Amino acid sequence: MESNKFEQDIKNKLEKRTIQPTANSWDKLTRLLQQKEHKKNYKFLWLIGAAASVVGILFINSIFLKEDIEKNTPTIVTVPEVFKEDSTIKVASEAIVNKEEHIEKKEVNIYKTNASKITSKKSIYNSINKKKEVVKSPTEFALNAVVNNEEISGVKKIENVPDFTLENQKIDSLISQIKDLKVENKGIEISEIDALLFKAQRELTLQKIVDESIKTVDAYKLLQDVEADLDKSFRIKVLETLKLNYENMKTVIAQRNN
Amino acid sequence: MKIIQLFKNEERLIKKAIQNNRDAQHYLYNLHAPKMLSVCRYYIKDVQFAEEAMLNGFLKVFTHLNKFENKGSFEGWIRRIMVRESISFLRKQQPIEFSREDIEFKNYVINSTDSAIDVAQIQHLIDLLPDGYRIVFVMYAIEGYKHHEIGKLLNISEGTSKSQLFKARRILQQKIIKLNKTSNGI
Repeated sequence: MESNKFEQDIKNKLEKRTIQPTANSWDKLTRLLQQKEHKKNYKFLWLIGAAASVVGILFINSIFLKEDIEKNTPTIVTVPEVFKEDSTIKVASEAIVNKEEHIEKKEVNIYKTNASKITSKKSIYNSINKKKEVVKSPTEFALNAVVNNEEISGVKKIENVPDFTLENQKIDSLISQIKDLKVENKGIEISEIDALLFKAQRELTLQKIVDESIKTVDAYKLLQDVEADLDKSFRIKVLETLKLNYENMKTVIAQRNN
Repeated sequence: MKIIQLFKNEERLIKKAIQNNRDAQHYLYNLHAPKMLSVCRYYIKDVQFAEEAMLNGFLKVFTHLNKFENKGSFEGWIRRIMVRESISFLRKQQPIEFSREDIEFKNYVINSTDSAIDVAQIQHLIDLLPDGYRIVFVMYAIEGYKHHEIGKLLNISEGTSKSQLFKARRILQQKIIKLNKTSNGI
């Protein structure tokens, strides 16, 4: 109790005591309070800024996400069925058309020499069509080949495509030879025609070999080889044409003699 | 009638101080600062440092004034803040050492028949105590904290708080005897 009394006594004495702070203590406190308020404002602004930036990021994100979704949705593209022909293709096609016309003209010339135009019209047209078919298919191949060759070797012009002049010349010469034989002997044997054809074919192959010896890879010739494998052989084709012509000639001469 | 008026005024002042009204804050400061500086002085030997701790305490008072629920006395609320601020001030200066030995002690009695000892002498005697002893003694004997409360605030055990008080009392007894001897001219 004694201790409590002493402690109570000092407590009472100390509780009554007051110490006056220094004169500028309030100014110090005001400065501290202002600093704190500034910090608070700064914090508040920083929070607002952070919130605004978060909102901004979210907004931008949402826009990008939308775009991504739009991008990811598959778009149906309708491919036009008709495509424009390339200038080179046009040139090639023109060249082929010209060639066809040339062949047609040649054929027509051959048949013009024949007198029996009316009776043999159908057969002539058939033969012309056959020729056309023979020629058309390689032209189609040639078109693609020319385009591919352009990509590979950089060849731009279609001028490299060889003409059929050599073959046509051979055919012409063969027909004329047969005519001559017929005029001389007044009758031709198939064996003679076969020999002539064999000779012509040999000359053609020789010509090809000569071309190969120069080591120029001709795409058209390669295609022609493939064509020859796919369709009837050149020999059979020429033979059929000749046979037809011969038959026609025979009938014409017979009619004239009558 | 006057008391009611004062209470009403204090409540109004607090409301204004919450809205950062400097005049209201200044008024509250002038009203409580002398007492609070005295409280801080119990713990801190130097008055200037005590004032520094007090200013920090008032800064917290005004910034957290909205947390004050008019249930208890406003002075008591400020006082608690000041005690905490004083302790943290001491801790910042140097770590407070508390002897961890939970010794067996009897309820030590300070025998002092001399009641003429003045406040300055009392403060001087308290200042002579080591920091740990002084804090526990002031908190227990003057502020009225319980040992478990002191233990919580200082992060020490209840036993340590009791032992600190025992040692503080013993030292104070020695000092009072010494003081009596010198005052009596022995």
